Amino acid sequence: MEILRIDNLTKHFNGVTALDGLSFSIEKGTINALIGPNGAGKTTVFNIISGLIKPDGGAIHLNGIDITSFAPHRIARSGIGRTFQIIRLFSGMTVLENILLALCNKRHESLFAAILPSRAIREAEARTAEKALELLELVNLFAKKDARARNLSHGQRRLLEIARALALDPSLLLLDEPMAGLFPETAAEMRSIIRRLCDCGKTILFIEHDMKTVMDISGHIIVLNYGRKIAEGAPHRIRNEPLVIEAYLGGGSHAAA
Amino acid sequence: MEYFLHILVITGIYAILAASLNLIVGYTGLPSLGHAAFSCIGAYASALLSLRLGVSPWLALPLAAGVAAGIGALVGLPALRITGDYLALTTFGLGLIVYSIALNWAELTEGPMGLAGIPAFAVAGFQLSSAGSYLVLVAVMAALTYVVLGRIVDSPFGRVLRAIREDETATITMGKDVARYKIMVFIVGAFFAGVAGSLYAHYITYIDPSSFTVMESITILVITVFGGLGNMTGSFIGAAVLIVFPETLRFIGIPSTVAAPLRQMFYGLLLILLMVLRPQGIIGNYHFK
Amino acid sequence: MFTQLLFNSLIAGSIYTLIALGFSLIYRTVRFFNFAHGVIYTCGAYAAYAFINQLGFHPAAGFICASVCAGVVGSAVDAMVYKPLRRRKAPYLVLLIASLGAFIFLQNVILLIYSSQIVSLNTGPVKAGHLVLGGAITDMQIVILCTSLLLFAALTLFVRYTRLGKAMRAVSDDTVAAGVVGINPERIIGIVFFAGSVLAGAAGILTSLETGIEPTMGMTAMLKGITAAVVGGAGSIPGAAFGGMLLGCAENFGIWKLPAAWKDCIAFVILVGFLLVKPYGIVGKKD
Ligand SMILES: Nc1ncnc2c1ncn2[C@@H]1O[C@H](COP(=O)(O)OP(=O)(O)O)[C@@H](O)[C@H]1O
Ligand SMILES: [Mg+2]
Repeated sequence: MEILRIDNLTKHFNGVTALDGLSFSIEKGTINALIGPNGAGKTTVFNIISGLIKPDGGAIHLNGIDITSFAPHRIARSGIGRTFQIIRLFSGMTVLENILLALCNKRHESLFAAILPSRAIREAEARTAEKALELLELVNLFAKKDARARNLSHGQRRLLEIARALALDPSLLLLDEPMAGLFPETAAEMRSIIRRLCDCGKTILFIEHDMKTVMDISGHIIVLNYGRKIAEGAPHRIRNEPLVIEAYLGGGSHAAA
Repeated sequence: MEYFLHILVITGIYAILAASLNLIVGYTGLPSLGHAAFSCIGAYASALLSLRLGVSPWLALPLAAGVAAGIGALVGLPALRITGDYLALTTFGLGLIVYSIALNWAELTEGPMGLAGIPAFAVAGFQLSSAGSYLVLVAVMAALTYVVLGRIVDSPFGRVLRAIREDETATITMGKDVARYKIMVFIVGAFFAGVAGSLYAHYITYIDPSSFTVMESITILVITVFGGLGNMTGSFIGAAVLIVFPETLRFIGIPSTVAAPLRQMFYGLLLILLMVLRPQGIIGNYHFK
Repeated sequence: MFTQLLFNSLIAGSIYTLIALGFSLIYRTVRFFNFAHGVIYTCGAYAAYAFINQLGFHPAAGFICASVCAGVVGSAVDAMVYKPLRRRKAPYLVLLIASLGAFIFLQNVILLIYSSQIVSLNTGPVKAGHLVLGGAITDMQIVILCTSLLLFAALTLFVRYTRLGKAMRAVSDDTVAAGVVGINPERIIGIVFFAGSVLAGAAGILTSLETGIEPTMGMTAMLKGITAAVVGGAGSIPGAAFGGMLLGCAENFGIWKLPAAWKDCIAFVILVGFLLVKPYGIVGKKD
């Protein structure tokens, strides 16, 4: 079943065409990779799906619902969680607070509940805290729960960012270069986490430069160059696609053409 | 003695102002340079309600705070589009507009003449007009402010505010309606500033626009920054230190024509020194980004 | 009536332009709103008062000395307040708030020295205006117009054609790169503060050719300068002139219909309106 469908997405930044009529769709419960050279427009796709940037043209459907004009916070609540290429944590808050923030719902965070918290709210919060600790277990950050996010190592920060996105209980998870700058062990951990998430029924779309990782864990690959889709399909098909090889190896000649 | 109690009343009012500004600037990270505008609206609304419509000060106070909160919602709107130093400039300009209205809309505010004879609070026929009796009221209100704002910042609501301060984009992708929170923060901040304005009006019993100038906004900001951005207790300590300390000038016999500029020089210098040496304030944990 | 209002607009506009020009020059180099600019304007006016009235200088000599004085004060504020902050890479907002502190501090120093009494410059007896196209314009007003025009032209040519001016542009575009190609950014920033402050001081003196001098005169002047700068796009030199003239016209034609008391409010409303709708001004762009 199709969870995400992107139709004819177009985006210009002051004359630069970042996306040019991009269309693709993603099946529920699969791991998908979005690849392409630097500046191909991958992050822009994520920014548009998550609503942070509005496209100049095209549409995005999540589970058949047109979310193109939704405010970004509404998109997040509709079940799309994301991480950023340059990690964005609440670095002055503790690890646990980062997760709690994402877990808490609108009702707990109302002004009224702040001034006059009811017992029901307090109990719900205790449950939330338990759930937060479970999520931290998942990414092996339980021991760090009271550390400030800014004091974590780079790998731990990546993991925390994913855990925080997971706290939204998203059906679709967008990961922007989740392995970038990780030590091999942490990268392996990340790969296993991504696989596990897929087994739990999450759908994943991730951006990655490391081809081995991409070929290893994704079932479906979308290749972008200059804002256009140049190839799409299973890993073994992409590996042998001449256009992809050219985009990756012959970037110079392509740019001149 | 009476004079000392008077200073304490003023301190309490400034503490409420500084704490309410802290919610906006210190906890949510929205630079606001026009906080006196909200106390101005609170003071005028309260004074007009009781003078023109004969509303009891006890009722005028919450109503006036509500009016200030309503204006706060309007002032919060720019914060949805504008950030950083442009927002600072916008709130500065809005403060000046409110001041100009108080000064020039003479039909309503009596302009520079001000409003005189504002009724005092009364409890069972006993007028709270002495500094001593008023101090009790102000202390209760300040304590209430401290509790309510303290609860707000320590709650999940407050956690969202701190998240906005840390990283607005990330907060949005966590499904938070950041725009709504920003407006709420201005509403709550303006509400308490309105309370402070009303308390001031019914205490002094006379208000004119000169009590709500840019300098007032800056004084509140100095107290908030000095006490510590993102620390409610700090705002109360800040008010105590920065309101009481300049009064010592008067005791060592400096005439008020000299004491007033000296006091403002002191605030200006303090603002510079804080920015250079300790932008988070004495016990704050956040500084401007 | 129309001609008179136009004259008044031009005169007010030329003063606003001068303030906005200095403000923009500083803004585009160091990227923060320097609120202390307003008090430099006041310093210029009082320095002129000191030179002309108290020391008996010729008005022209007094004008030059006082402008330089304002420049020195502006540079001093930069060296003592902003430079340490820049070295620490303080955020723009911290610089802005420090500049507010400097404003308050200096304004009250002036208040302590000269008291709140309004004084005026000793520039000879007031003469009746000339009638031009049905509007009256005084000699002083002609002096104001010509001096502002001269200063504006001088600054524009200086920034565009001299080596130093080009270095200024390099610093404002990219401080790090400027450092790499051998321009000392701190020296250039120092010069920019001096030049910008001279302009503010000159505006203060020109204003006091027509009206009284008081310690608080800098606040509204600064806001009008900022408004002009923001309307034209903070950092743009032609934008400053455009914004200054627009504001001058809006105020003077505005009070044709509105009570005069609301004159200042017009500027504040324009400022806030522009910040809301077009924060980067008419010719400015987002960076
Ligand atoms: N906010 C933005 N403003 C201007 N240009 C942008 C912005 N975001 C991306 N771009 C431009 O769009 C193109 C695609 O960028 P991006 O999506 O970040 O590429 P990728 O993630 O594939 O490396 C680049 O040329 C980039 O400079
Ligand atoms: Mg990218």
